Amino acid sequence: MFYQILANGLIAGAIYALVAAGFSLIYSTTKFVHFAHGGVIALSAYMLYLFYSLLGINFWLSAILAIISGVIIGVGIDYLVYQPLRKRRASPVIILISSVSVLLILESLNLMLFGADVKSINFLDIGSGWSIGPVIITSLQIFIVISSFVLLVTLFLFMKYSKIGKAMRAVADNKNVAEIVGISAERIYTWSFAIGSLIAGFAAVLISLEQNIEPTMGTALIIKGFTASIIGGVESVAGGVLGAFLLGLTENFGIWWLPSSYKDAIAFVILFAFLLLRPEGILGVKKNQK
Amino acid sequence: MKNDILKIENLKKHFGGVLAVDDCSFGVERGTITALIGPNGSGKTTVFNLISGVTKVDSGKILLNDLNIAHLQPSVISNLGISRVFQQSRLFGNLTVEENLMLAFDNEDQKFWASFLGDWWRKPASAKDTARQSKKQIIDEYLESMHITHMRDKQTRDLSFGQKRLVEILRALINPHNLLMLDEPVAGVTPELRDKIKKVLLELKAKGETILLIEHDMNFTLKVADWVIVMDAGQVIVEGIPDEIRHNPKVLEAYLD
Repeated sequence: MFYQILANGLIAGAIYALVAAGFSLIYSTTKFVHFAHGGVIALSAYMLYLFYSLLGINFWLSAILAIISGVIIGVGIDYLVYQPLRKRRASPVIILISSVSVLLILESLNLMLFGADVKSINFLDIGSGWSIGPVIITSLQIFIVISSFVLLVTLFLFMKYSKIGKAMRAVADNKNVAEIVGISAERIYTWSFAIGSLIAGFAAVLISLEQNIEPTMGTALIIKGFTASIIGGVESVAGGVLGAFLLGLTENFGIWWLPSSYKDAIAFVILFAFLLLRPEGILGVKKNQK
Repeated sequence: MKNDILKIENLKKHFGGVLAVDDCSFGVERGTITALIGPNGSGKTTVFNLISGVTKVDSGKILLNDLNIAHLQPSVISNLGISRVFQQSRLFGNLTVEENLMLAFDNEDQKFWASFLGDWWRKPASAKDTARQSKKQIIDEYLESMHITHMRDKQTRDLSFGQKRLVEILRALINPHNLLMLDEPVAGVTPELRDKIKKVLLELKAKGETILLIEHDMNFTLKVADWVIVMDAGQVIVEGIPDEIRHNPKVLEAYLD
């Protein structure tokens, strides 16, 4: 039982990690909370449903189109909503409220375009499982964990070695100094939204294979991604990933003793505990230590 | 006639009810070290912030090679050729010394679509490798000149105050520029390091660099500067060669007030 829960926790963590990585990446450079990131994931999932289930396009091509849609939606939100607000020097609270508004608009758009009933992508068979010792894991779950791992390693390498990755880390560290050495912060924000939303699109594809697609799924996902980022340290992408796995494991071990409906409550209890006791998160650095 | 690379004309800046820079005008001659001095609160750093675009100008002109840069973004101003060192070291703490310096090179390949699509269609891979190698070589030479080669792979947040100062000066030197602006480069550093920085500045001048400098250490300033501009209450009160400034009663009065 222990190993099965461990496996379930790691699988949940792999999905949360994709949500948290994109969210943290955008936060680290722009320094505002992009709650609409959940909406980008949900709408990308519906795009997959549109291309694959409704239009009958090949699954892999549909997946690529859904990911591209995610990038366009994410960069579009920045271009149409956040960029004008930044130009007017809007306060972080105004941008926060606007991000929640965009999330609600995207959810309403899902409802309007695709209806309230849940949708599913029946591409890989969820039922057939593999036995690895005492653990039963489906081929879909193995696919999710491996894909998530590959994407996160690629993201890590991109941030560590590419010129844009370094420029993103520079803007995350100090936007004004980055500007002084000739790095346009606005261009880096566009890059952050493009890459963060690409990860969101990727997460949407994996989540749609494992779970049903519903209009409000974005809110549920961003709550997990946000919680994971707070646990790990909201300005650190690596922290967000670490927080995601801790959240996935804690939720799954929690429902060993508690009813499964308490899963979200467990996430909120951890979120409050970290906000009260260690608001900078596990890998975060306290402001006066920077 | 002076061959000015930078001309400041009637510059003004308010912060709420405080007039920090009041109708300030001066020029910086090409190939010289010009020092901007004055008592605390006289508006020197604000002028630096206005020139580099960190603070928005209320009114007036800032002409760099006759182009008005007064309302441009800091990144655009940097790419037009102004390189700057801040009063307090501002390096990217989460990056290594080499990464900090590498970012200071030209940013032409950071244009969004070029970065997104790559520049394989513009340059062969071998040319890119050569460019990268030469950048690494330049960084190595600069680090060697300051005797800090062993710090190349250290994260800058782990450096001492003086080491951070040196890396920041190197970053400003590497950043392609026509004008180098240094805000108190020797404040708080050891006497040995101050001598090293003085030597570097004089070598740069000999190479034809134009430097605009803020410094409180009068001995240091009057030894390295060719021209000194004195500010008080947001205005230029006097300017001239160091010997004239040293004995000017207006300067003494401004510092004693």
